[in-house]
Amino acid sequence: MRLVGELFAYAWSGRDNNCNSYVLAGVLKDNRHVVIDPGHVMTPALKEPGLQRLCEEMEGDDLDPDAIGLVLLTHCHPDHSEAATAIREQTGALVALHEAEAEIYSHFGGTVDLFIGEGNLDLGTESPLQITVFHSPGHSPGHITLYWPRERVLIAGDLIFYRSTGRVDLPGGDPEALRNSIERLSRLEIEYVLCGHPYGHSGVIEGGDEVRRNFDFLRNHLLF
Amino acid sequence: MSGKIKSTIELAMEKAAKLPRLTEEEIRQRREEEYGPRGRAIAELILRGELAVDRLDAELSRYDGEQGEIVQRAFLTSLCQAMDLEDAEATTRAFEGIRAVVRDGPLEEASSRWSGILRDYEEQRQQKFSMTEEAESVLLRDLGVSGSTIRLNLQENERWRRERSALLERFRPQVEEIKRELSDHLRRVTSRA
Repeated sequence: MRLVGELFAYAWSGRDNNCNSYVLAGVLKDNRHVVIDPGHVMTPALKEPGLQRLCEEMEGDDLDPDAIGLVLLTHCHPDHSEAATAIREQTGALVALHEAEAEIYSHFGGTVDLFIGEGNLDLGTESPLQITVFHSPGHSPGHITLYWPRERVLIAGDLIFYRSTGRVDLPGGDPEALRNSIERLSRLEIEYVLCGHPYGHSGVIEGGDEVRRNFDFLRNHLLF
Repeated sequence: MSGKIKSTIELAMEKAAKLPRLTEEEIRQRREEEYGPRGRAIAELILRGELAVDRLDAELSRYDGEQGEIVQRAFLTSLCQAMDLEDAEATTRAFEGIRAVVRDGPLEEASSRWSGILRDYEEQRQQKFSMTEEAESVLLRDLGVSGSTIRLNLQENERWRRERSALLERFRPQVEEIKRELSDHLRRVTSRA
């Protein structure tokens, strides 16, 4: 589903755990796409076909899954990253992940082509789409979030959910870092927060007021 | 029917006496199989930095005579084999371990030759690395991915793997030669001792 501009959102609707995926369509050379967090190939408990479903939904939007040129991973957990390896093999896409996550990711069999850290990311050759990447640890040490100033979109991975935050009890989790990361991002002008999971909500928090209310809720009820 | 009844031990001894005796070569091979791994295990400890060189003498002197020779030979051979242009730390430890047992002119000459080879290798490796990085950066920009946030991970890059592998292959004859000469020298020195 096209959300805004070149951005498509694919919210996970299965019963097992898997992440929401997002696509910046046709922004690279030869109209290749950027996929953010492709999720599981197959969910571990109920064996739901995550990657197949993502590909079918992309095709439903006239986006060719074989034309993926870059996979951006917000972090290395398999419910976000597992399908990256299959996409890399199938399409030759590059996989980008923060360096702090690379070693754990390699234990899951993943290969990192590009390290991605805090800074500016330009996607496209002529009038590139400009993304700001924030290193936002807390849920995991090398977690990143992507901010698209033109459309005021924050792709939040597992940092922020609707009325909730990412868990910090997994290895590398850090509640203090999570709080600082969220506080820092709350200062941005945001119209859309795109969460890494639906969790009883679409996973797309839309509208500046609703985004602010969500940050206020996290600040007042969860973080301090 | 007047024969004496034999005990179990006597029967076993009779059976053992009928077994073919081990040849000298087989006895030597069995000792190698028993004590060689001990020398290699000590070498592994040195290479991993888990055994200080100044404790080496105490480890090796636990074995004497022929056993000691086997342990020492296996130890030195393992250290020679571990010398690696891509692993400077292990190579330094290998030379330190060898020096703790043998300290002579030919060893220092080998060490100096190794340093020369390593210097050439690292110089060429850096050149190749920079060229590969530049070529891959161009491909990345062509694809439409750029910015301060992105850094190539060449360790996983197929082109860099090929380049590095080809470079190592070019240096292999020199590396093998120095390892062989050093191994032969150490074998001669330690068997004289």
